[in-house]
Amino acid sequence: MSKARPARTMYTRENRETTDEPRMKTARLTPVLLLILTPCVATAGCVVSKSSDGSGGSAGANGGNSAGGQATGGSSAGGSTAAGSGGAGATTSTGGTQSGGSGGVTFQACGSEQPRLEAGGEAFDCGSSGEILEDKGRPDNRVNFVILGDGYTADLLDTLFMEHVKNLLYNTEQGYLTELGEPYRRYWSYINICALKVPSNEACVDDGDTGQLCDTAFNGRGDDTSRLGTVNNGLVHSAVAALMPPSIDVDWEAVALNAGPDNWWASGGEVMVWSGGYSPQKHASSQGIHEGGHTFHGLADEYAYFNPNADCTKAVEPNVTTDPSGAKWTEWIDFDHTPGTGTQGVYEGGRYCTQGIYRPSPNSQMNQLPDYFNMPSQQKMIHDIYAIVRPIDAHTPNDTTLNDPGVLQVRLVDPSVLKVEWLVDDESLTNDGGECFDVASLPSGAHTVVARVYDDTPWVRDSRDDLEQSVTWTVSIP
Amino acid sequence: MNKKHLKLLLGGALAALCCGFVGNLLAEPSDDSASPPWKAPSIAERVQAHPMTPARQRLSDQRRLFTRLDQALASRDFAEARRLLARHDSEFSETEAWRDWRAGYQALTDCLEHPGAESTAAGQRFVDEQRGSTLRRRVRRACLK
Repeated sequence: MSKARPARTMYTRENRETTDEPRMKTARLTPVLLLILTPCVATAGCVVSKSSDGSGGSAGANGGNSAGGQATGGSSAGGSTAAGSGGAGATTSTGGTQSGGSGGVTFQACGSEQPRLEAGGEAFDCGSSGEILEDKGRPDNRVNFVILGDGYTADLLDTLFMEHVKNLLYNTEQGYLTELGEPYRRYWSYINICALKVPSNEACVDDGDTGQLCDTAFNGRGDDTSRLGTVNNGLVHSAVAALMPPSIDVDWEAVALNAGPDNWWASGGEVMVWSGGYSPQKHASSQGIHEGGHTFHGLADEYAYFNPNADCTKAVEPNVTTDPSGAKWTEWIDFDHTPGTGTQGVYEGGRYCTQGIYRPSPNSQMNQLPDYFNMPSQQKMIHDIYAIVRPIDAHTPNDTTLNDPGVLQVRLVDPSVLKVEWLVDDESLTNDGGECFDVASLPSGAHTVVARVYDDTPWVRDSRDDLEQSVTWTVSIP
Repeated sequence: MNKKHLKLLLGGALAALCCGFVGNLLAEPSDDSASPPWKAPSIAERVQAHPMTPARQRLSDQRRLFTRLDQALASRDFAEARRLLARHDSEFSETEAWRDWRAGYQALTDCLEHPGAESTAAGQRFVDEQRGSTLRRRVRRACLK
């Protein structure tokens, strides 16, 4: 996998004067530091090369087991994950050999030299029964989303099943990559996706309304009364375990039910289930995204209608509350989400209660379809993604003092989403730099260089430290 | 539009009206999308993804229990985490569907509260045996790193 990357920042005064890239925050530069910002050294290069052969990569870190190539900013958790959240912080990345890339992951050099990056992890792989739909990078640092189907016979796996999967993802009206799919669209580079093709013996699923029983891979069923579509999750896990490479951790699992165009069945339990072939297809996509809100992010339904079974005294989910002040999402109160779900506030009714439970917006993707996710939901979704994905895929090793390294490099998950602040000896040179930093022009002596990689999205207003990661080097310049 | 969809649309409209739902009808399309601009549908065109039935309620209750487990572990309230695990055992003992999650949260709780050889070994077993579980990465990170 090789991605073209835009040229990034040059860190010399002369180059600053000739580039369109964001400029340094000179206000924070001392005169001494300004003086040493000399032109780039040709041999080291200051610009990200647009070409890379991607050759030479050793297997590198095991994607699942090792932190080998992944800088760690404290523990990996954030958002809702259990392990104590560390967020960012100066990293003490483990060592590791480096080469241009590994297993299909290609790095770009910061100039003519091969980048001295740590091993980049293995390539994404869906196994022999899988089809890769999105390969965004090392699976140990991406959300790995696996989609299966139930009620698709072998002859339908390459046709109907794939049509339904692609409709979920790419429906141009209501799919993940439309504005209604935000924040997934913004963070699409953070997600690997594969479709696992598991044949069923019959092209249908059990229908609770008609009594039809079908012999399928995951015992899928549904009925119109509840519109609940379910599968046997244990069978799904077994299939994933059998078919996916053992080193790859699967974060999100979904199953398309081949229930025909009339049955709109779904559920958002441990596995997201949706009616892949429901017509109109945009509603199939929209419902899949809604159910993913439950399964992948623990969001509540925001329906405001009476249900005798509902407990209207508790609201643990991030997008509902029993507190009429809305303290749970106080940072979003009065925010104008336009285009979107309108003014964020505290609206009575939610999670099947007409009273006592409050929701953040008049409508949302977790309410009447279709619509956007509201801001508290989007915020939670982004935190969940960053709980899995750290901003830096790889970086120049920092386990020892580097003597005259020429260029330091961080490899970002997505340079269009992430920014880099480069600091030398605690002074910020730029808050929007690129992946490469030329240290050749630093004055003689020892220096501490820090790359703070951060996401300046306006869609997160709490715990923003979870959206950043730093690497620290000690360099010695002769 | 098939008959069933028409029914859903009408149901959604009725639900919206009877509950005082006010849709965001004023949303403007974004201009930064490669896909066609999205126009907010009318209330009558919106639908609820699903009704609430006892079966769905039970599913929702389980999901909420695990959300509370997340919150307990994030605040390192291990007593609450263990109470919730016990509650899941007693209230959802028949549930096959979330069995790996129950085991995974048990491993997470043990590794975070009592890091050491024993919990690490249990975490390793989960990672080795529950290869299809979506909790695998979290257990790996909490127990094995």
